[in-house]
Amino acid sequence: MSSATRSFRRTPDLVTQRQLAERLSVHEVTVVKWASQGMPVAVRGDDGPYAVVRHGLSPFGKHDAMTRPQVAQLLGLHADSVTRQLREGVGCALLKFGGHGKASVFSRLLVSRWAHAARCRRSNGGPCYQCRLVVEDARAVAEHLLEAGHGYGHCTFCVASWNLCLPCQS
Amino acid sequence: MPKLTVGVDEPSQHDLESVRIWLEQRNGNQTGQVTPLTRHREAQAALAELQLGERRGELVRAADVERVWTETVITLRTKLLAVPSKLKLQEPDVPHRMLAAVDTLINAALEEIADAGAVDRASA
Repeated sequence: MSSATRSFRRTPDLVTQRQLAERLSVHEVTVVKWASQGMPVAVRGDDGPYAVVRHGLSPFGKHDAMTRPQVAQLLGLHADSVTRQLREGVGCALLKFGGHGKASVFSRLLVSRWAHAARCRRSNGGPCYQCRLVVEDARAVAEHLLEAGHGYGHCTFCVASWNLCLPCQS
Repeated sequence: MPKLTVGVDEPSQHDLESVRIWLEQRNGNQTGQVTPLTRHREAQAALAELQLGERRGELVRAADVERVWTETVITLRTKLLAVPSKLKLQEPDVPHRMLAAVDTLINAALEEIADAGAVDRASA
């Protein structure tokens, strides 16, 4: 067979769910959500979620934690609006659920990440591709936390041991 | 950073190329959607175009056209209905039968025009 007629078949570049999340700078739960929305999966396996041993309240350091009024001040909203927008993406920053006289604890870094991405208007008056991905990731994590009832980083789906994309502030 | 306690034995595997194509298609579909902001901008552009045409004298307001045309048509109807009377004044010898026939013909013509206008308005 001559080289002109020989057909080459591409070797699939297979990665695990975690590796894919790492490459796209999102959480695993976002990849899980995409898979449920029709994203092609080459080999289906068992991906968890599995529990994570955590040290400290926030995986981003002890100065990262903030309360709901502080989040409201950071975003320029009323504290009740923060609660209302939990599913919109703010909920991705929930480190610890409050209630019964105890305040909820949020991650400053994750709140800022979501807020900057949501305000991005770099692509024809709308968010750029990466910021859209960040907002989608934040919503997926928020939904996961609210459904699972645990704080950020308590299972493999909602923790990122890799660098997350932090949107530029321009 | 948190420490993962349990490893995954047989994780799902994804083909990067397929995932990239799927994400691009999804992104294209999302950006192809007409958002309220896009509709607002399109409406603003159309409005600016109309205002520009009006200022250039290429376009006139529909209300102005309607007002001028109404006045013209009413004047026309009045003049036409006055034709038999004027004919009698100018030519006193014209028989009443003839005047009645002219009057009938003018009324019939006006009613025909009025009916055609009503049909046009109903079909518009």
